[in-house]
This record gives sequence, C-alpha cells and structure tokens, in this order.
Amino acid sequence: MEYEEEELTRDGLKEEYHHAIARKIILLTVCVLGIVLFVGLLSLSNYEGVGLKETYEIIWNHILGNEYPSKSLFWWADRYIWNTAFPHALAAIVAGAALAICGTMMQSMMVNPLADPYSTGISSGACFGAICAIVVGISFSSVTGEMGIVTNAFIGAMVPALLIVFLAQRIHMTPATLILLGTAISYFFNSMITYLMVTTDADTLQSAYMWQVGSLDGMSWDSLPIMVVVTVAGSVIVMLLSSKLNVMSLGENSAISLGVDVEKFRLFCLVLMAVMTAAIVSFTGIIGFIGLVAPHMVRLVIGSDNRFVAPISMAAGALLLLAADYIAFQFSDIPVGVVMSVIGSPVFFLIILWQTKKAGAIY
Amino acid sequence: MIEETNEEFREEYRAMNRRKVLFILAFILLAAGAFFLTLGFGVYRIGISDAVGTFFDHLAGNPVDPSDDYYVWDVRVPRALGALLIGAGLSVAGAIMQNDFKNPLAEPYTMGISSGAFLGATLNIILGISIVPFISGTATTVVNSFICSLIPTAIIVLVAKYRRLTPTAMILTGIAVMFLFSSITQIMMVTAPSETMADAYEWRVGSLSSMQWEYIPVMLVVTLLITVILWFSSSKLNVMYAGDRAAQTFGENAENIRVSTLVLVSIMTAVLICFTGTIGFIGLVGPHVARIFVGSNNRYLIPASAAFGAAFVILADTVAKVSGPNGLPVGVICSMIGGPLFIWILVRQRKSAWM
Amino acid sequence: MEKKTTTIIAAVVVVAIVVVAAVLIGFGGNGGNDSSGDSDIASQLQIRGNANDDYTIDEKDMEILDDVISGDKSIDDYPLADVNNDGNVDETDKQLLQDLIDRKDGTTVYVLCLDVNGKPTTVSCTYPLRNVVPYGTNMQLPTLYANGGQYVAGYFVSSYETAESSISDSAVDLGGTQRQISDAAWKNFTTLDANTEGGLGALLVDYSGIAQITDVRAADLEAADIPMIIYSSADATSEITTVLTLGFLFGGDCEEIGVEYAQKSWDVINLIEEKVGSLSNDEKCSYICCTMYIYICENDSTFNSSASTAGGLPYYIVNSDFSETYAGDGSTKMQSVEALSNYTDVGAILNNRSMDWGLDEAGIEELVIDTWDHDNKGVSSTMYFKGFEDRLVYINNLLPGAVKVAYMAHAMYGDDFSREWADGVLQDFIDMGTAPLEGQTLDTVLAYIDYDLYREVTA
Repeated sequence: MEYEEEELTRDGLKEEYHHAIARKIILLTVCVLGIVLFVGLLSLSNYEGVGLKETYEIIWNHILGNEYPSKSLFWWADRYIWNTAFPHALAAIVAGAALAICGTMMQSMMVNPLADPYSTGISSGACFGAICAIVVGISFSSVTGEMGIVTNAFIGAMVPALLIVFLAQRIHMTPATLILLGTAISYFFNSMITYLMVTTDADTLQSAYMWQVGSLDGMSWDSLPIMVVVTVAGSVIVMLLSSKLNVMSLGENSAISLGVDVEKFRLFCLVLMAVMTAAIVSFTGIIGFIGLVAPHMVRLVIGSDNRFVAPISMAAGALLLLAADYIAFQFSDIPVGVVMSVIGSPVFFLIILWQTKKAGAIY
Repeated sequence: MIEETNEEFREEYRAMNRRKVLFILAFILLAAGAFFLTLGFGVYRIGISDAVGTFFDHLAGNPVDPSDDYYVWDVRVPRALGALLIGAGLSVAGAIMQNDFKNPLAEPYTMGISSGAFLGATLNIILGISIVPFISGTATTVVNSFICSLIPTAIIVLVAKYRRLTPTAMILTGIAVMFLFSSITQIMMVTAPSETMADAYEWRVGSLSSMQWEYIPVMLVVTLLITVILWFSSSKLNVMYAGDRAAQTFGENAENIRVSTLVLVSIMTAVLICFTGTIGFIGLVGPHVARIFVGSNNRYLIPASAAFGAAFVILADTVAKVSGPNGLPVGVICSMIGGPLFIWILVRQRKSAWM
Repeated sequence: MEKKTTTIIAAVVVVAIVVVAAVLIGFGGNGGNDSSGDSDIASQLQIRGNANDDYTIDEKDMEILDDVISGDKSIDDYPLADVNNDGNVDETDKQLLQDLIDRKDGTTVYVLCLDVNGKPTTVSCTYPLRNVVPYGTNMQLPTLYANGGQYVAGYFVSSYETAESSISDSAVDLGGTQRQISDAAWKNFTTLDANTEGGLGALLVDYSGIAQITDVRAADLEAADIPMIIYSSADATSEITTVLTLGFLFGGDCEEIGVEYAQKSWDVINLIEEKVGSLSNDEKCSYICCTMYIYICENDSTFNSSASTAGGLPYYIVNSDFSETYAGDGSTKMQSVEALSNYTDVGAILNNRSMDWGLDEAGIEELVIDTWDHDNKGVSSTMYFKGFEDRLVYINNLLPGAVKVAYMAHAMYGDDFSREWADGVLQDFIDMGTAPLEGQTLDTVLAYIDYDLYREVTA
C-alpha cells in the first residue's frame, strides 16, 4: 500500500514538475511571440498601403541596400521603420526588460512585493537632473541640447545611489530603512523639483512635466547603445546572482545562515540596479509600474524561483511596455508613461488586496 | 514615607503638565505674533506697524486709507486666517493619523485624500466639468475637489468593512487608491494646454493666494468642531496608541475608533484643502515638532499640534510671500522645509513601523 | 574593514560609470553645425533678389544687380543682390532674377529665414510655393492672412474654428498639439509628403515650436528635400514681413494680398509713429502687457515689442522694481491679487487673449464675461486687476498685427486714436479680403474689451 502511494506521489511530482517546466516555456514563448507581434505592429500599419508583406519587403531591401525612389511612400516607410519605429520599439524592449529585471531584483532583495526600481529615490534624482536642464538650462556636464537632459538625468540619478552607498557605512541597512531612505530622498528632490516647476513659465512647466511622465517618442539610434550595453551586461550579472537572490527572499536571517554576506550583497545589487535604471530613465523619463507589475505577472504563473523569474520577467516587461507603447501610439499624443500608470495602478491595487496578512511575503 | 513619595510624584506630574500647558500657550502666542507679522508682508508696500494699525482701525470701524484697508483687511487678513486654520487643522489630522496607524510617517494625505482632491480640481481646471450640477464659476473647483477627496476614504472604509485591514494594509490601500486617482489625473494633465496644465499643477502644490473672507466661516466651523470632538476623545486615542490588543483589554474596539476618527479627519482635511490645494508636509511636521515638546498624550498633543501647525504655516506663507518674483505658492515652502525634516525624523527614528 | 573597502569600491565604480557615460554621451551627441554668417539683412520681403529691400521683386532690383555687376554698387550694401546665395553677383543671378521678375513657375527661390538655432539663414524652395504645412499659431495665421489656406496640405493643430477656417478642406489633420509633434503626427506628415503630387513644398515653423524639430526629423526633412522656413513671427512687425514673404512665395492673388497687407500695416504703424513717436518718455503712456488672463509679460517679450510699436512706453523703463521682478522674455504668473498693487501709476494694461470670431450677440456677451471675470483656480480675474478697471483692456490676439497695434494705440492714446479709427483699421483688413476675416463684420469679431463694454454687457 505504502509503496504504491509513494509511487503515485512520485508520479504526481514528476507530472507537476513537467507542468511547471511547460508553464515556463509557454510563458516565455508567449512573451517572445508577443514582442515580435508588437514590434511588427509598431513598425507596421503606420503607412496606408504598406502591409505586413510590404514591410518585410522594405526591411529586406534595406538590408540588401536597395533604395526606393525619393519621397515615395515606400521611401518614407523605409526611413520611418529604420529611423523611428525600430529605435522606438527597441527602446521599449530594452527599457521594459531592464526595469522588469531591476524590479525582480528589488522585490527579492527587499523581501517586499511593493518594491520597484524607483524605491531608492533614483527616479527623483534623475527627474531633478532633467528638470534642471529643461527649466534652468543648467548642465552638470559639458554636454548641451537634447543630450544635456540625458546626461543631467543620469548624473542626478547617481546622487541617491552614492548617498545610499555612503550611508551604508554608518547605518545598518535593513530593507525597510532603504525604502524609507528612498522615500526621504525623493521627498527632498521633489521639493526642489516643485520649486523649479512653479517658478518657470507655463510652456516650460509642460515640457518638464511631460519628461517626468515618461515617453519613448523621439528615440533615435544614438540613444540605444548605452541602454543596450548597460542592460545586457546588468541582466547577465543579475541572472548569475539569481540563486543568491532566492536565498535573500527567504529573509535576512535565513540568508545569513545560508552563508550570504547580506549587506555586501545588497549593496552590490543596489549599485547594479541604480546604474541600470539610470541608464534607462535618463533617456525615457520616469515610466512607472513596469518594474512593479511585470515580475508579479510572471510569478503568478511560474512561481517565485528567481532563476526563471528574472529572464522571463524581462520578456514580460518588454512585452508590457511594447503593448503600452502601442496603445499610446494609437492615441497619438499620450505618452507611454500615462498608459503604463493606467494599466499599472489597478494592478497595484489588486496586489494589495490579494496580499495575505503576512505583508512582505512574495507568494 | 510612601505618602510623601506619592505626593512628590504627583507634584512632579503636575509640574510636567503645567510645562506642557505653557508650551501650548507659547505656540499660541507664536501663532498670534506671526499673524500680525504676516500682515506686513506681500507685494503691496506697507510697514508691519502700519498694517497692524490698519487692521485695528478696521476693527474699530474707521478705516483710514481705502487702499491700505483693502490690501490688509480684504486680502491679507483672510489669507492669514486661512493659514492658521490650514495649519491647525492639518496638524491635528496628522497627529491623529500617526496615532491611529502608530506610524510616525503617517499624515492626513496617507489615505489618498490629496489625490482625490486633485482629481476633482483638475476636472474643473482642465476640462471645465462640474460634478454637482448648477454650480458654476469660482465655486466649482472647491466643490469638485471636496467631493472627490472623500472618495478614497470611502473606498478604504468600504474595503475595511469586508476585509480585516491591519493599519499597514490600510496605508497600502491608501497608496493604491492614490495611484489609481493619479493615473486618471495624469491623462488630463498630459493632454491639457500648457496654461491650464500649469494652473492644475499649481493647485496640487497648494497656495493660499485664493483665500477670501467667504471661505473662512466654513473652514473655521469644521476645523473647530472636529478638533474639539477629537480632543474630547483623546483618552480613547491614547489607549489605541498602546496597540490594538491593549485597546481591547480596555474595552475599546480599536478598529471602530480607527475608522471613525479616519472619517472625521478626512472630512476636516477635505474641507481645508478644497480651498487651498494640497499643501504638503504640514500634517507631518506639525505633530512631530509638537510631540518633541509635549509628548504623545493626545490631551496635550492635539492642542499643541494645532497651535504649532498654525504658526508653522503662517510663517511659511510669510516666507512664500517674499520669495520668488511676486511670491511663491506656500506649498513649495512647506515641502522645502518638510522634505529635509522628513529625513531628519527618519534618522532620529532609525527603526520604523512603515511596512 | 572589509566592508568598508567594498563600499569604497562600489562608490568608485559608480563615479567611474558616471564619468565614462558623460564622456561617451558627450562624444556621441555633439553634432555642431555652424550657421553661415548671414546677418539680418532684409527688413521687408525676405527673398534673395529683392535687392532694394522693398515690398516686391521688380525691374528696380534688376537695375541694382546691373550696377553691382558693373561695380557701381557694392554687394556689401546690397546683400540681397546675391540671388542664388553663392556669395557673388554674376550673370546667373541676373538670369534667376529675371525668372523671378517674370514669376516663372518652377524657379528656385532663396528665402531668408531662421535656422533651428535661431540664426539667420537662407533656404531654397520652388516658386510658386504649394502644399505647405504650417506649425504653430504664430505661423498658421500669417499663412492664412496671406490667403495661403488654399495651399495648406496639412496642419498639426487647428484650435480656432472660424479664424482658421480658410485652411483648405482637403488639408489633412496630422495630429499633434500646439506644443508637441508626436512620432505618430510626424508619420502622418511623411505620409502626406509621399501622397502629395510632387511632395510637400515646405514646412513653415514658428520658432517657438522649434524644439519639436528634433535631429531625426531635421534629417528626414533634409533627405526628402523639404525646405523648412522658420520665422519668429509673434511680434507685430515680424508678422508683417512673414505675411509679405509667404504671399510672394504663394504667388498670384496671394502676392497682391501680401503686399496690400504689408502696406496697410506699415501705414498704421507709420501713422502711430508720426503722432506719438516724437513724444518724450514723460509724455508717453506706459503699459504693462498681460497674457493668459493673469500672466505678466516679461520685459523682453514679443507682446511688449508690439505694444511699443503702438507707441507705448514699457513700464519696466519707468519702474525699476518692476524691471527687476519681470526680467526675461517669457511671462510670469501673478501669485497673489497684490501682484500689481505697487504699479498704480501705469497708464494701461494690455491683456492679450486669443478669441475666435464668427460670434453672434449672445456669444460676444458670454465671451466678454468669461474674459473679464475669468476663473483662475477659484479667483476671478477682476480681483487681480482691482483698481485698474479703467485702464485694463483685452485685445484679440488672433487679429492681424497692425489691427492689434491700432487697438493698443487706442487704449493708450484715446484722444489721438479714436475707437472709430481702430475699428476702421479692422474694417480695412476685413475689406481687403484676407481669407481668415472673410465674411466677418465688426459685430462678429470681438476685437477689444474695455470696462465700458463689460458694464454694458453685465447691465
């Protein structure tokens, strides 16, 4: 009798294991297919008379080096696809992936389901930098113009990161302190942002606000190398660390007893995340909720093993941002950041409601 | 022997209480002094003594210079009174929230009231929509934001009715509701023309420049009434501060007290901010400073917060009036003082109850 | 000890990344483009070949060209004699000028305008200019005033139904807002170019919206050979040259309208100059300009330069406190109803507001009240202008520059310039047949609101 039962359980386990694998593969496939679909949609359906077939034709011809007669519809479509649609879609993929994996890391590391890449105040620092450039025209570096905003934002984003690194020497950094410190830093920057915003004129205020909301419009090839390099390098490191992250999400004590130097590890993760997030938001503005929502969606389906959550949530984040971007594109004048917050805030609300009494648990 | 020690303790206790009362009186004096001081500040040029003189001339019924009288009595006095009421009301609200949630960083806006109010105001400022029919003109923004600011609280009370919500869960629900409302507001903001968008943004920062005599009675009555009610229930509030379990042993249902004070505080906050916009940090700063002087006993904390908050806002508004090309919204000054103070509280606190 | 080292390493890494990133971005993004040494050489018609710098291109210009070629005149005195913008004047310039004098279709015209950095430059387009896309109110209206509405192929935004109704029915709404051209709107623009026979003629840009022409878009325009004609035409006098130049480029009746528009405008401005130009500062009427109800125009704003054209003395010259408070070229919002309280000696407050026309009596009444009593977040405009009612006027910002100037002159010098005269100027422009005002009368256009009108309406 007993033997049989064990056999059954083993079979059941095996089956469940297969199911779990299948789920992961299916989810990843769905995400990747979705990405391909939306990249297609974003570069397609923009020019009347340029359908799916024609789009491939254009891309193929571009690769072969064939050129269309100047100013013809196909010539414009070709330019549009290569100069606007591709960088735009690629930026959406990179930004979505980077923010999602940062969110995964933050949530595991902070043992807090509500943490996201902006929790440490990076976003407000970036925002302050950008708004300095937009409103006052102050550049923190020698760079001016469109890139001046980007550089300013990046340098601004590093301020909270540095602050946390230095404070970590003095204060024992629990996850709660870190999040609080992030809140405090963002309050501080926000007060200065508010000051700059109310003392400027209406038009400048509007462009500053638009930057804050976050948009992928006007993304060009020039913006991509930094985003891509930082994101790829960063996510490879995160994936190498994912088993350690698993241990971290069990709680500080368990992590220590399993031999992780918690504080050093946390600090390392924070710096890594700060660099990744800063590289993204300095180009796109503060697009919210991806880092929060994407990892949760993935965990709902495949559970919370970071070795799988990290890569799959990258795909999911990319898909999410692409989809939001596609929606934004349909409305023509709505930045993608707004669409993200319209999608993200109800999800956040549901996360709160679903959460059981044990606040802090990740499923 | 024992008798004597008792007597000594009692004496010391009385002395301590006397000291607390003295602090409260000092705060009140500070607020009153600031009230007269602020009458002398603004774009219109008039000395402090002249301004105070004009004020008393008007009270006595014989205004001298019509233009002095206009700017002092019709512009600055309601603005100063508004500052006092906002400061007192929001500080008391903050004190109650911190007490209810046993969280030093709770404030009147923690439940999402500000986002609701902002949504209501934006509906009128950007889209020109009035929620209540038949209302038009300058009252629309006020009515809109009042009504909308009560929605988040209503949602939380409703959720609390069907699910047991711990204080932390309540705060989180508040944040979630805030995100929901903000996302709707954001859609309006990004599609608005720049000047109405600037108006809306400034409303969110909060300013006392729109204070008028007509607003004062409503603000005064509501603030006074609710503060008095809260003050009379301070013993219940004190018990709650000791924790939900402790409250139970004293025969009080912590959750009921929490929900009912939450509703009272929300109404008071809504009434105040619908006239001024969502001025931040007062509800955080006021009670904190007051607590340093009088401790956590609500019997003293409530009046002390009220007095200190009033003095704080009126002084902040005085600073706001003289900074910037022709003044700044007071909300900017409050956040510039409040932001760093928040960090200080945090450093002092070290460990906290948040999350 | 070990912990500290890690921290320091982490900090160093962060700093290093910042520096490297800044340097990388710095190298990547600094595409410096030097603008040519063009100075502001034309005062009227902004077209090369207009050698004598007047309203049009004719035989007189040819005479100057001949003189320059023969050496009697110097190109330095007549820079516009360089018709094809190659740096010297020779037979090819003469040939091109002859084509321009003949108004020959397909001639290449060299137009003086601004570049993306606001520096003067020369761009070329084909005469007559067709299929244009204007961007920004301050470019759209001049295009329409030159009767160019029929040649507008597409537009990014049209906020004034009646005033901008002369945009051709076949023109495409490209999407976008007053201050933003989104990627989607730009895609519509390029589609329009592809679908338009012969491509788009030019993109006409108001300089205040230049930020929307990003590097990628500028590259698109260059590759597609679509000229970008940029003017900063918010100020009344530069608006005149914009209408004149666009009228010439459109050709035919547009050119006539453009010339008439410019002549009438300069007549008005010269008359004002004649009557009040010689007044000393003490005799002049001082003014403060406002916009968007309660924003005070800063010292160097374009509204101020229009009001100065109308003979007024900007208040910042009179009052140093005001001058310090409102330094700049934008506008500052009044933060309290006290904002104007120290400036009670100002002569006039000129409040600019864009008001569409085609109104009936009820519409006018409603607009008067909405303007005068405008709700600024819970405070009526009247509170901000208390004590200034008799000196406050609202002037319709959509009207031709000269009409605005005429009403401003009336507001400041009511004895010299009667209301009838200012109305007459408006009537003249209506009668001229310029497209946006076609079919309007003095009763359907709300040009000017003063306290009397407000009281009349509210009585």
